[in-house]
Amino acid sequence: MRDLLLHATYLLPVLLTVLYVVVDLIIDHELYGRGFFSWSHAIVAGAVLLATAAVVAHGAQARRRSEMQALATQEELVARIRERTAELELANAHLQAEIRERERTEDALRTSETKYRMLFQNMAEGFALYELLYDGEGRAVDWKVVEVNASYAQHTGLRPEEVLGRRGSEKFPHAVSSYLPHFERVVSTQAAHSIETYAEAVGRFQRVSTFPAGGPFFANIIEDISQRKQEEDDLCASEEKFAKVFHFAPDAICLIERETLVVLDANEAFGRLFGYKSSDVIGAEWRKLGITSLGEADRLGALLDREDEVLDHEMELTSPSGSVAFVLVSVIPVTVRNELRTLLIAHDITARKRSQEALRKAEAELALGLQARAALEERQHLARELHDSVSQALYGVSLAVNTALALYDDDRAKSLEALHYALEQSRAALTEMRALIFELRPESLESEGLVAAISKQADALRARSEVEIRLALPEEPEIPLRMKEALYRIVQEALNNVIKHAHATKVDIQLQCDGLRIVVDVRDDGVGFDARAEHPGHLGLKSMRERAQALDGTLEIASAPGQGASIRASIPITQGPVKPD
Amino acid sequence: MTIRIIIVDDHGVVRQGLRMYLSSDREIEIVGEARNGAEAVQLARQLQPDVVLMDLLMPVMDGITATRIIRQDMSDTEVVALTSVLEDAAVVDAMRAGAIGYLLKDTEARELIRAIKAAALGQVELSSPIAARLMKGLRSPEPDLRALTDREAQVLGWLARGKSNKDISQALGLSEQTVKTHVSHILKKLGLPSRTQAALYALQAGLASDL
Repeated sequence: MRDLLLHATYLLPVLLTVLYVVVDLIIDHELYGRGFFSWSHAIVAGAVLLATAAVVAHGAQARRRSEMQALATQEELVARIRERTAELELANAHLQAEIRERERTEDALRTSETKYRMLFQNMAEGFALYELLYDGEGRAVDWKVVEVNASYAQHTGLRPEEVLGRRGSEKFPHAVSSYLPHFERVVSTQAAHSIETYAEAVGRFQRVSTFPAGGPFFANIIEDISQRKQEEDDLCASEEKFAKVFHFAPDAICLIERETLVVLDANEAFGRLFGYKSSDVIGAEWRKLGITSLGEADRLGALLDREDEVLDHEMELTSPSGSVAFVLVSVIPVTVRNELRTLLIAHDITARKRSQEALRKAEAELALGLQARAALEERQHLARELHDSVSQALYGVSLAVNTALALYDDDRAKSLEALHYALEQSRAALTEMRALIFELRPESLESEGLVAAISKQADALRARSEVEIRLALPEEPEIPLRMKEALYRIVQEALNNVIKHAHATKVDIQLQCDGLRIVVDVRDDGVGFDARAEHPGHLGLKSMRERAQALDGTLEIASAPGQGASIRASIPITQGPVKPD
Repeated sequence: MTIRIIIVDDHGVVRQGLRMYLSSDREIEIVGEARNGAEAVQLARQLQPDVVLMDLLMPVMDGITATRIIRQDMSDTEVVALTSVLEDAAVVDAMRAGAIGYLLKDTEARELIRAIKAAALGQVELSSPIAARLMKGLRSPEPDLRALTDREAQVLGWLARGKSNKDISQALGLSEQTVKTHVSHILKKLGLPSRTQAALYALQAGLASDL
């Protein structure tokens, strides 16, 4: 008993220590309530207790012997327990970390799954998981709907509950033949594949992308491409329209590659304009076509080299066949699929040009013709004048001299009379000649003036006719020369008419100038004429009126048969008195 | 026997010169002056002159028209056209209208008197360049010479050789007045206004060479 007590005195602190350690472990590591009471600790503690009990039970005799041994063992045990405890603490810490990691992963997985499920249900594209079905001989014959998302209904017109678990042949009997090979291919090759199709059920264009989903399973993503299709169609239509415009446009159009100047396309009008077949032009290098611009040889080339737009540049182009065309050239740089190109448009204005040219020419000819006509009229006028005046006077003179010669021997008095007559007539002829020379020299009107010119004209007429000519002329008016010329011609023509047609005895010529207008009156007491009647052959009246109107003036004719005639030309002096230049 | 003439010209200076010069010849008597064709026709009717000296280009009525009227109405009055070079084309028209001769105003004065006297004698002058032009301008169809009597054909033949009424009367032993009457008949039958034209047709038909 003493041994037992002795042992007990040894054992007790050990037991207490063990208990302490166990309790401490339990408390320290809060193993309660976690469902994780450390059985290893319990087992160790139990084993220690059992070992202790065994030592107590197996012999007191050994007790003493082993008292020392026990002390050593105890110390060793304590050390081992400490060691083990540290190992356990480390293992526990690892375990805790592992548990926390797993919890986090599980959370993340849950979150992710929720997220993807939401995506799956809410995505705009239709999604369906199918299983391919085979017949006994391993041929794909149908498919079964395993899962679909909410959008699936929009793309197929079928609600999920209508299709889940059903076969393709039940729900899409018409599509089996076209879809099955596609599905089968994806499943057999395990490679994704997509097709574009038109879904009649919903009236939309769709892209159906099929992915392998393991084994006989596969998934479809259905994407609505109607809008894109529409845009493509619109683009096609627009391209077609453009192509039509391009080919049938009346203007010559060609599209040229910017770097190489190779003609990429040309329309029919281009061929017509330059005398090519469109097929000969397309693919050829622009410079080799031989179209040149007249004048500056490379002006067209320069246009093509420019980087900015040139619109309606007029030029004259010559094709190798020699045909010349006037065109309005527009050069427009364009970028087609990132390629720099030049659109050349040539609007043919040859016809317009030609007619303009012809018009200009005709106008020039007309002007020339008018000048020539005026000159011719002037010459005819002078010829008439010479015939009417000087020529007749000289004939009279020669007859008188002939008379004088014939009578010289027989009748000296009559001979002398004839000579006097001849002298008188030759003076008259001289006066008329001066008047004519005056007319032949336009500068005389300028140097001697309008008043002098009218006076000379009157003198000449007096010399050859019996008409009494009375003048009422002011001092030389200060008006432009062209006005003087017009007035002089009007007076001359009017007097001509009087002498030729009026059978007048008296003519009054009056010139008046008040600084605003210059007015000339020629009034006779002859037979007169119907001023209102047309005088088609009568160029005199017409040319008088034209002369007055050319200076913004007017010509008034007052006459009636048997009542003489009065012609009044009135011309405004618009710029005030002007020194003759 | 004087030749009674009328001077027609619109230029006073010319009329006066003509009167002066022609008066110096005793055989010529100026019975009237006219300033235009209309006055000339009126005077000719009134005065029945032997010869009218007719300017061609005149106001109111030109000399050609006046010549035609005078030759139609007064076959015994001969017309001599007097003109300047300017009216050269008009000369042919005047001859067609019936003028027996023509003179340019630049012709020597003595020629003027000779021409007036030849006209008064009914002498045709075919040597002038104007006659050649008249020949070219002969109208077709030709007048039918077969309508003429033998005597008339004879007279025409002489006429074509440039003979005067007096020459013809002597050659054929007729009075001058009878010759004039024959000529007048010839012109009427052939529808021609002047001896000159009748003579041209006679030449063409070979009547002149038959003699």
